[in-house]
Amino acid sequence: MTTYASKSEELTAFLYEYIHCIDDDRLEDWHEFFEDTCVYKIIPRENVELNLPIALVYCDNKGMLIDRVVSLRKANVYNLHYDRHIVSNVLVSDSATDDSWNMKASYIVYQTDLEGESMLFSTGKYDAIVVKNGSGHKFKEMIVTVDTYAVPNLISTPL
Amino acid sequence: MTVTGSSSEALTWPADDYSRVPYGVFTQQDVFELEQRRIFRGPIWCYLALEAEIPEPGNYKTAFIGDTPVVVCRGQNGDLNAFVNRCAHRGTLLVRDLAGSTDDFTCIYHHWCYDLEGNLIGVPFLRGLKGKGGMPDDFDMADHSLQRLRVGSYKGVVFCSFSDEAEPLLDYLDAPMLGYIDRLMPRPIEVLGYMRQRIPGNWKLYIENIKDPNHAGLLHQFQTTFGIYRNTQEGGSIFDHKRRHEIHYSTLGTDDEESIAEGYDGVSAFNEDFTLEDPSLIDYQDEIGDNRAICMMSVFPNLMIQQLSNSLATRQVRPRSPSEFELYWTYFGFADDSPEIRQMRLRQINMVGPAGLVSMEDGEVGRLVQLGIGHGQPGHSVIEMGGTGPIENQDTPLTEVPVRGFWKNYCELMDYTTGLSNERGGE
Repeated sequence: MTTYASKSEELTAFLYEYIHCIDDDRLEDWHEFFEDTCVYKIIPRENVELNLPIALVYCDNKGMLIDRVVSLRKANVYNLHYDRHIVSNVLVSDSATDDSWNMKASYIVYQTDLEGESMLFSTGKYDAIVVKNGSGHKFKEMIVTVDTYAVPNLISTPL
Repeated sequence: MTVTGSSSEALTWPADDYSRVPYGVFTQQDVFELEQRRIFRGPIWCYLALEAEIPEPGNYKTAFIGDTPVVVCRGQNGDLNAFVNRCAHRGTLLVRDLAGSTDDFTCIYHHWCYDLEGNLIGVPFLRGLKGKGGMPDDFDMADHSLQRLRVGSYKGVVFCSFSDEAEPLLDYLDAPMLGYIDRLMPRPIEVLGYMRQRIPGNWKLYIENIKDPNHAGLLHQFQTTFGIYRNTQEGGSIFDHKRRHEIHYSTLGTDDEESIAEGYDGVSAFNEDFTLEDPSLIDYQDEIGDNRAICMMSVFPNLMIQQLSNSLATRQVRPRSPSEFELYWTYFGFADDSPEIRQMRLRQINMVGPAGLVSMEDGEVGRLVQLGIGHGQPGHSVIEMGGTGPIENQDTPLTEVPVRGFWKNYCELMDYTTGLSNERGGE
């Protein structure tokens, strides 16, 4: 079992597992990173600045995360691509309650099409609330604030 | 007229009923530039903003009409003003932020200052200093206002025109569209947020998409599967008298197992095995009382008003180049929304927008058509679903006649004539 020098290191590893799950196209496992009652939101920075609530994706329970992936696999037509997340500047801080931590990080996501051409797809930040769950952790909340709110065509796979 | 550019194929419109569209109209730079003059700055009205975005005197917001940057603001007297976002001195972009509130607009370059009506009211060092420099004596600030646009509003939906020749706004919108705006805006609205989508395709591909009810029940399998929209439901398309605008609608609960089985027999667009963990996403509250869960209105040339279940938005088409446009979504609810209906609107965005489970395919289709035609090769698209000939109201979703209504008005403004060949089929 991996031992971590600090909580920050441990939660950073949890975040790395999350992005590798997406980048490895294991989307069926994606919801496992979340509590049953959770918030996953992708919101344009434009709306955050204006204090407006509309998000690009807004899920308030794990079932909605599962539905999104099933829809992607079974119903939706979108640009076939690979994702590559780069996550940095991770900061972990205690929250008001025990066994719950605030985590923020910067991200960039490149997409690579089937011809092998890569492009910057999105940059922004994560604001997460992580809680202890058994021997591991889960996201209670994962807010993705998108700087690239002029979305390059469409958002299919999770950020 | 046949448009020929140094690097362009001649455009031909072989069918008098606009059932053949030359691919070059989606790819050529000279067409794009002509559209700016004859369509977006032509004798028509373009959607600009919502009054709810600029409720108080001094409020302003920037937008694009075609590829021209514009500003709309509310003057001290409460009137709406709009002008090209360009300093009358040296052409600098005047307003740099997206929205705000101000008493006047001052250019950052040489501090020329304009009032909320676009009148030039201040030029630093106008008369020079100690008898030296300054503007000539005959320089008159009254001759250097911002380029003002005509502005009109109906039920808080704001339009502008670059042209004095455009008919009055209400005549332009025409009765069916006015009635639909009445239906959707019965009381004060509140803006809930924005989305932007950069689609790598020509802007007119999106207009074709939105005026094509037939595709919605085939391409968008999320909604066919859950019965939000099926081509087997009752639906139709309604035009204004010039066939340039269009509303299409679909009525819930008007199909049954038999008609679905017949209509979608052997069609891959229908997936019965697909169930939702959280079906509350597709809950619909019939706010209006006509059970029309989908109503899409397109107003020539750059506006769509969306009602998908309880998700309400305007969509402004902002062309950027022959092969790219931005779709700018303004979501709204009503100021007196209950917390429950407001929450429904916020959750239903999962179905619409660039990440929408229903709508993400529209971005992909724009990209794929542009990829398919973007090589400068000749050819024509075929628009015959729903029949050829006259462009009349439709009482079925199995039609693309509204698309021909767009092309008819487009060609009239662009001065393209049809019938260069009487044979359908182009090359």
